[in-house]
Amino acid sequence: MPTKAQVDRIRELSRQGKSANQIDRTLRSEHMGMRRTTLLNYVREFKGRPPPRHPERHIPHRAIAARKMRKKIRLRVKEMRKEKKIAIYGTVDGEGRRFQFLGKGKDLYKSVMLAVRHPPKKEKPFTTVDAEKFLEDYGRYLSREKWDERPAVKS
Amino acid sequence: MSDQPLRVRLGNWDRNICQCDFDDTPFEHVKYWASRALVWFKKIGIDLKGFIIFESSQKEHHPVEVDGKVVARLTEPSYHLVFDGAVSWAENLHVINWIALESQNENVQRYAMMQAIKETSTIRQGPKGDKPSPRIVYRFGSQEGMIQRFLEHRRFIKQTLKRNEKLGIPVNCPDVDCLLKHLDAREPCVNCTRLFWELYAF
Repeated sequence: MPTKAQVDRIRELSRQGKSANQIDRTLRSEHMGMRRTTLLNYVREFKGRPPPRHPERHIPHRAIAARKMRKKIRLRVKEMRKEKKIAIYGTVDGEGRRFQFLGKGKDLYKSVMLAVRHPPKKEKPFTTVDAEKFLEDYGRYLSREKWDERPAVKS
Repeated sequence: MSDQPLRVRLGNWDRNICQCDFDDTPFEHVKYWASRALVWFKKIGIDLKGFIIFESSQKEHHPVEVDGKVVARLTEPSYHLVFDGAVSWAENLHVINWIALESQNENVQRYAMMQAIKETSTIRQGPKGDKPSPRIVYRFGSQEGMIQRFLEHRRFIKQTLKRNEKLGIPVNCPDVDCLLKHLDAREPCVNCTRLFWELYAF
């Protein structure tokens, strides 16, 4: 952030009718140099000029593309963060079965509690399901069997 | 927690988190391959940013016998490796299989194959029988991306286990609807005689 002395000096030089480049040079010589973009904003404000129409015209295309990509990645990561993914796996009569839940909060907690009690059906031993959908119709996914006491499973 | 071991394993499944299971492998070996993967994949455009290593359960094998009696058993620890960078599923397989092939570790190779068959990669986060949950032993580089997410899942599992221990939610209800009602109300049912912990150790 520029200091009050710097802003006052820019205002004073602008009133004298100096150009932005001249003001920049003067400030530097007085050991009050600042970021060019900030300086230009102040000069525009004091001279009553409108902001530039197409600022992106002066930015290389590759830099704009990279900026957009970074934004996209940030959004993607943010979206992914919304839900947790929990796997519950074990064996029933020595055969591996697995529930893969995705969801958040209470729904996920309830689904985990039910899945710990009963394994998925034999017809669909590896089930990936949204926790909310699962709770709406758990009878469709859960079987009446029970998990083995000491499952010999790997990840 | 109850004396009875948990019947199921609880873990994290994801396609965008690059995670690897090193069974019966020394810590130095895991650290070496994690660092090497970090450098190699940065060169070819996959930024893994950082990693975290968890110590999983220790296996007891190789009995030392003297006069037919087992005097001692050698233990070998297992480790879990999780990278911080967000990756696509193709990149995830690329990284896991590269480590498996280059390290010539049969356990990692087996793990990589299993994940490819399942089409998701899974790492255990909850307890395993009598053994506790994996614990953090080493961190390197950035920890704010996928590792943070992984740790959130871990926290969720731990809290679920803890909460049920505290509430002692009963499961001796006639049906699943009854159990769901108790979960909502967070209070035991009058009809239930035994606690959830006694039956399911959860």
